Amino acid sequence: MSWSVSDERLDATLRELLIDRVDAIATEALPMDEFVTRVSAGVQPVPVARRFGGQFRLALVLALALAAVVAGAILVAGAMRQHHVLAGNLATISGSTVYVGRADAWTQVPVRPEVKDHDFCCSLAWSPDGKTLAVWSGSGLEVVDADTGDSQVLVAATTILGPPAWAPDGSALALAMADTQTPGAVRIGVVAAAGGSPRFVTPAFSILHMPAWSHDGRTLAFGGQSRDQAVEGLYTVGRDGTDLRLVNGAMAPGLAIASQGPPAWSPDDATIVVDAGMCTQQCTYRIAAVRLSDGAATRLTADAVNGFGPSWSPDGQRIAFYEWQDGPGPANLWTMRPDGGDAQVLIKGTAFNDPAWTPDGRLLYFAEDTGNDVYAQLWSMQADGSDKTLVSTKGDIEGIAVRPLTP
Amino acid sequence: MSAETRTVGNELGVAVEPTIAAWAAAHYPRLVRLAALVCDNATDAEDAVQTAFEQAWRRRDSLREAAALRGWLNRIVVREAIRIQRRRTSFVDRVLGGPREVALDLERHDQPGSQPGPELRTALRIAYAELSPALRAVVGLHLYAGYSMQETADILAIPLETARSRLRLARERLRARLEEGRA
Repeated sequence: MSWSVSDERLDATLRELLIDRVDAIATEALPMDEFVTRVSAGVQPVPVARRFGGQFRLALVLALALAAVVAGAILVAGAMRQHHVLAGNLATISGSTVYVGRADAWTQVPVRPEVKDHDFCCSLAWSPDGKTLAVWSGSGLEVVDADTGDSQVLVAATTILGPPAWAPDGSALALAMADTQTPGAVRIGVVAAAGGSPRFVTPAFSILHMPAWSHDGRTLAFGGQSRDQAVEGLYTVGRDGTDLRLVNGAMAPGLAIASQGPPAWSPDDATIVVDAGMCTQQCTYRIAAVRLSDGAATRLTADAVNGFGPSWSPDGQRIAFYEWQDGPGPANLWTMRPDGGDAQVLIKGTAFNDPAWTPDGRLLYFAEDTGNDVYAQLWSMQADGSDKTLVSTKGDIEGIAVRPLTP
Repeated sequence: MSAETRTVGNELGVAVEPTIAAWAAAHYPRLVRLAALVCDNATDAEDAVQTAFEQAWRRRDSLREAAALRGWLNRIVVREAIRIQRRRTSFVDRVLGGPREVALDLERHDQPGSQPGPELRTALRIAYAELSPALRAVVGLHLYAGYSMQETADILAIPLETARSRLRLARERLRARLEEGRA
């Protein structure tokens, strides 16, 4: 079977295609004056720091290393002091029901009645100060004071496309939203935790997945497909909407980037770990680390591992992820080193939801279907898979959040 | 003229002060379009052009002639565009373990042996995106930019026969991809 296309016809069609392609890209390119500014900045004389060369860099590295050691010691000491309290400060969500508490004393947090017939549900996340829960349920994005139960809807359910992410300073949340002014367009929106209208920080995209903040709070990363691209990529954008950047374009129609879990920033914000999925007759997922400086990607999971939803342990020593074997449903829970080595299956075939790490990286909370009458109960285990403990007999858990360290 | 003064020849052979703005006015639009033959988006195309400008600026002493500068910029932009695009493409290869089958839904629109309609453009757009950056460069430079095969070979710094064989290979791959999409 053939197209019956002559060389001439093929070349002519290709030529038309290239004209359209080049016109489209040239239209999007930087205006000349901005380009001149950028190049001028790039050819400035060598900075003083570089002239001093190795000695300066060595001193800088030593100073940074010393600062990191001191900061790490303070954090570890704090974590050890707080852990016995924090391990009990859990939140779970089942439908529109949120519980906050310890293993032996759960309190139901009042949230607004669930809106029926809404396709997306549910997630929850603690604010960085541990005082507020952001709850995405059928009623929209709601912030709930965990102590008083006072709540406020920030974003209506009908415009939300995925779970929200807290800014590291706790002042705002970012999420993928529908742009109701432009049919078919989706954007990343940032909404103040105190309330107010969301502010879009990206142009219109065709597809967007959950965003994630860098640890310094300046940048958001997300997977998506811009309206002028046929393929998905990993993007970053400044908190204020500037510096939109395609870090790595996937270059294959049908490939989804960070679609099963938000991009996972490494502790030093130099690398972003994402899942990359290709769905034709069935879905294949891989996990890759993308270097922010040049977009280079390194695959972390093996061919035989259908991994997705990566998340870093707080200490940066391990990456947890899930693996479907026969499509959506109970999964394997893995951890591996950040370079993909030492991959271990901690839970085989019965795990649900994104695992939640304790702030010290010692424990993992997860939901598991153990085959009894209650579906998806809350369990904990050590990061190495040992000491598995049933935390709550409540079932149908769709999201877990561990309260961050509080001063 | 002081020792610090840098000069390049303009198209009329008159010595002029080189500035980045003047270079941009003379070359930026053309170079962006050249990079767009290989790159998939404006950001990558700009990056390729910026790299070429920065490298050329640092070598401006040896690029005094306008023709030399033009040819040099063309070469560097295409080379950088290929490098950037290879990095992008390698994401798929490294993450998913190699090229995948992508179903082209063509059966609904075209009958075997019929003359191609708009679906050929759609299928070709996808097939072109799947060509390696080096093959895209040959196709783009020759078919779009109108460079002869010898000029295309010069820009890519490859032998003429290699350029010809790459063009032949690109056509074969495009055809194979189209037939595969219909199978």
